[in-house]
Amino acid sequence: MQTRKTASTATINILIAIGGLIIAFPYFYMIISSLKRQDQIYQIPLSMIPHPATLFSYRQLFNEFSFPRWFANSAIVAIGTTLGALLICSLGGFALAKYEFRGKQIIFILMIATLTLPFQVLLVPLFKEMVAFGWINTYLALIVPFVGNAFGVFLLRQYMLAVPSALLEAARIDGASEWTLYWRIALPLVRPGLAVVAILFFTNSWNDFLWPLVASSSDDMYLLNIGIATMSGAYHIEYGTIMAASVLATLPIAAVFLFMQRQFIAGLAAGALKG
Amino acid sequence: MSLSTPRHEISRTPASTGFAAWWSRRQRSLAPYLFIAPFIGLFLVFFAYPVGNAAYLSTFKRHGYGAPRYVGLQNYVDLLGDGRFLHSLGNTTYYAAGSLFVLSPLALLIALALNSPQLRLTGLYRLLFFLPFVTSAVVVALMFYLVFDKTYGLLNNALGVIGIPHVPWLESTSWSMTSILLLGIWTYVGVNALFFLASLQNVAKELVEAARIDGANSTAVFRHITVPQLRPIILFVAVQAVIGSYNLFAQPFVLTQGGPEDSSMTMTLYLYIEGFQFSQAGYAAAIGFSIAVIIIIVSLVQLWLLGAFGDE
Repeated sequence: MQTRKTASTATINILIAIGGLIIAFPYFYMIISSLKRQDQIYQIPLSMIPHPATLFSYRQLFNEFSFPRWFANSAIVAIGTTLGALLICSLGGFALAKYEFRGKQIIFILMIATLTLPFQVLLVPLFKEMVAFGWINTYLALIVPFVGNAFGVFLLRQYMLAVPSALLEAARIDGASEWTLYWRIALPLVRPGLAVVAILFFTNSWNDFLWPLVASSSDDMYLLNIGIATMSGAYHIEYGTIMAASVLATLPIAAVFLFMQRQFIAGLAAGALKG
Repeated sequence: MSLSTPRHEISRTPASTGFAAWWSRRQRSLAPYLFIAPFIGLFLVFFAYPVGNAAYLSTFKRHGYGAPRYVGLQNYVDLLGDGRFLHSLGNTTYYAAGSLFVLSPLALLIALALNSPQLRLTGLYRLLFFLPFVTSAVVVALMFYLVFDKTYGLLNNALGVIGIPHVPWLESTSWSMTSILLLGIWTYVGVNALFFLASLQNVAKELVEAARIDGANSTAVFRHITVPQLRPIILFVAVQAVIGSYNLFAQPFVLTQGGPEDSSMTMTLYLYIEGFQFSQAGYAAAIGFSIAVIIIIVSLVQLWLLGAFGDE
């Protein structure tokens, strides 16, 4: 019995270790490749140590591509979308959770409709709309259409339901305006919900590809993902440089994830709730 | 100081007419409309109108360089006879089947292992398995160039060690979609394992204990206690796997551009090509709706299954 137990312990640990290694190895090799000399990437047998280790690819990235600009664009769009969504969705969620008003049911039905339709349906008409607005190749096209998100409203409504109505009523008697109830009482109480929504929107925006691909058309308006993808499309592929860009593009999201793991998991649970 | 004085006056005399008085009486009933208005406005402009417009656009077709002409439902009829579209549907469905029958069970196995008290370093693995999910699909795809490359890729060089000849992962029509699927499994198996893990940790311990005392072995406990309690999450993971498959875009776009010979063409990639490379807005809109129909059917099946199991 004891030996069987030891054997199964060993099996589980070894199998999961192999799985972990399979997940980790491409990341490891990406970092290694970004530090190799360009010609060392194409050398058989493959080497797992950059020899000599060089920052050539990183210098190349900053000298020959608009990498800092792409990075800034991605940050502006991700932060803009996140802040906008937090405001719009928390306001909507507050109204739906803490007030009775005519039309509430219709709004719920509309929201469920948006949750079932995939973005692909919107791709072409939204693009045409952006052209009509003159928003193509501006931050507006990358931010504004995504801040009024039904899922975000729905999620924050769930958190807002937990705000005690008696507390709001007491504040009303003390003469607080409705805006004060939202801004000074409800918002601080749903901070965990705001963190979950912020993470979802930031990650989605930072990693989005299809929409920025059609909505931006010049190098100075590219987001990281688009810029990096065009690097690989160049006639002369310098793989080390692409890997250097990939490393730097992954760092912010990995850092957010590392520090806010708990909220990430909560966001996942919320996603499960959505289904 | 002097600026704030008049406002003060008004608030002290609520009986006085004027906007402020009216507002202080009505704000409670009007506030919800004002709070929800920005969302509704954005919803109408950036969702409702475009969806309506998509339906309208999908009834037009452009021939040559002329203006698009009204063709009724012809675009949808054409889709059914469009070899390229059917091919993309087949590829996407292959990927969906792989997600359903390979990825999801694998995720469950990993979750069971992660839930085992015998496992060390659980926290580290949780971080690691989650990481691909938050890495951008473009970066993941570019990373996998160095995995799938025929001569210089990690995979072929590793297989070479045990004597397996080089596989043309991305260059051959028979392998390209499988490579995209392997990439998909690598990316999403961890996050799905974490979904399972979350509900495994909610499986009632008392039930398991009671079954043990009654003499049930691990297999029986798993089949008769764990699986039934996991049903909602299994359903959720399965449906997400299928829906996610129909969104597949960045990976084939970056790695293969849908090739060779359309062997890794996915529905969303085909939509993009028709809409933005061939400027066939109407046809692309029709493809968008066919993806929507598939996703809605899958969601309805989920609801139906949930309802059916819920009655037990």
